[in-house]
Amino acid sequence: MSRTFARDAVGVGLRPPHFADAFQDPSGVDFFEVIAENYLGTGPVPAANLEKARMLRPVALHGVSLDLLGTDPLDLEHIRRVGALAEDVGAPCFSDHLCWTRLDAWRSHDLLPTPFTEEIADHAARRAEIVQGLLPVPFGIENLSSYAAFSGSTLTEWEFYKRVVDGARVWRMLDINNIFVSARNHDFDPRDYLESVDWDRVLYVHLAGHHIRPDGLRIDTHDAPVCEEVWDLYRDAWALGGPFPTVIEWDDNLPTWARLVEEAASARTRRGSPVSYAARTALAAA
Amino acid sequence: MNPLRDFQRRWMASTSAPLRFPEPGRVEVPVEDYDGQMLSQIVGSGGVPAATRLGAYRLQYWFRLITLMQKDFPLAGHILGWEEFNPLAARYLQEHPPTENLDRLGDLFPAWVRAHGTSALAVEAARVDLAWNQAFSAPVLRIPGSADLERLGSGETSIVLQPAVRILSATRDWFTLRLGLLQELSVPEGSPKPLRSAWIVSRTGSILRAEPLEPLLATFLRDLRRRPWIDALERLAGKHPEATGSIPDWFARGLALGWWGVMAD
Repeated sequence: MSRTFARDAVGVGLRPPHFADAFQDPSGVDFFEVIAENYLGTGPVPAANLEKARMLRPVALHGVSLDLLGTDPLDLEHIRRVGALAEDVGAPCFSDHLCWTRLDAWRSHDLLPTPFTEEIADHAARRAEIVQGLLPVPFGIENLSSYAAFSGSTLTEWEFYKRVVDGARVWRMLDINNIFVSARNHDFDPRDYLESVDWDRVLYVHLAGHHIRPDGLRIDTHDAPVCEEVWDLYRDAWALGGPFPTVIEWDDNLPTWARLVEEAASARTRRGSPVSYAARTALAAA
Repeated sequence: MNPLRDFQRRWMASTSAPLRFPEPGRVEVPVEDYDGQMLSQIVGSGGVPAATRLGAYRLQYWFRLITLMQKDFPLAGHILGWEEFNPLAARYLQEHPPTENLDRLGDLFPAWVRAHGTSALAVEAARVDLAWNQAFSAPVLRIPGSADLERLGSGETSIVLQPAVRILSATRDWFTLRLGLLQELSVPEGSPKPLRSAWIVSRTGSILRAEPLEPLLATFLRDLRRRPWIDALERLAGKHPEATGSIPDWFARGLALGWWGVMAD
């Protein structure tokens, strides 16, 4: 049976170094998100820890290897195993990225972009529809952060994303930090992106920290606190489409568990009320 | 060819092209390796040219894998020094690119460094690192219960060594050093102190432990990997009759430390 979380819940990405502290005191966190691939193997240690997590809080599954933009056949066995895991842990949903990750025998272990065209969006939508058909839980697609844009693109990133999600009749797993990183890297207004979102179709949102290289390129590293500009964008997203569940992702240079819980608490205090954006926009226009 | 697949083929060739390590501690991303058609499809903007943008993905590909190798092989890195380890790991990864399961990324590394003329000490360090990693991710068999123990005397048991158990010969005390490195303690430079011995790496729950083994126990445990209990016991009694009196103690010790498992019926 799936265990859901409240629409205004705040969760964190649960990583192994935090297991002991998180299991001892999960207060301040409404749900956990875990990387599904880490729990699909035969190792008993991950399975035992996932069981402990599941007893304490609802667990959402997040994937990194679905390959929606790929041109290899979908790995149906992998999708079935994710589905079985979702049932085992009672996950309310599963999400993965709008990217490609492999080609023949090559595995990038990275989330890779393509040009934004109608043909490629429709290709991804067809694959996403198959994924949803095989899963017992709602499937959300996460928007990518990217460092390269392509001359062959005929759509904006948000038009591309919308076409895939709508075409497949699946959900959004919206990463606010990714929107900001891509906006800075490709010089568009992240608020235009937010305006395009159908908020009723958002499963939850991600927040994370990122890195700015000396040449100005922003890299989605998940190794730092959420920056002020991303908090501002989160506040705008909340005003436009809140409430929605939120997950803090922190994968490298891990802080203490207490610091991570603090970051989750910041999400609650910083987001303001769901009406302020419209009021602010109207005021700005006036 | 499908244009998207063609795009992905060019991308793969560009971003997995090897990095250059011109001197210790320096890494270069040679842009002349890039496929011209790939590069022409990327828009350079905001003062960041197309080659730099593609290079960001290339760096990410290599750094992710080399970082994983560093995490999996702390002893080998300690012995070689990271400036020597990193280019070596990159060369290994070129020949053995990642598969789906990153837990298996370094499976061939000890044999590879041995074949590439690396010092015997570094090879031994890599072997211990690999044993540690494999012990962590190995599946677990059912722990023997009283019914299994009763069948032990009759020789009809299906008790075997847990897959996590690794028996190693070592010429150095790698295990204390590895513990120190993992706990980020200050450890002395260079190789650990000599300590010729057989060691056992085992796991109880999520706790990995390593400890020295008496030579006969090591021989017996290695034999257990190859043949059933009763045959291993007979061989031990035949070659080393003086050891048979130790068997009950060995068994109890293994039970306490999670060495034994039961094969599925």
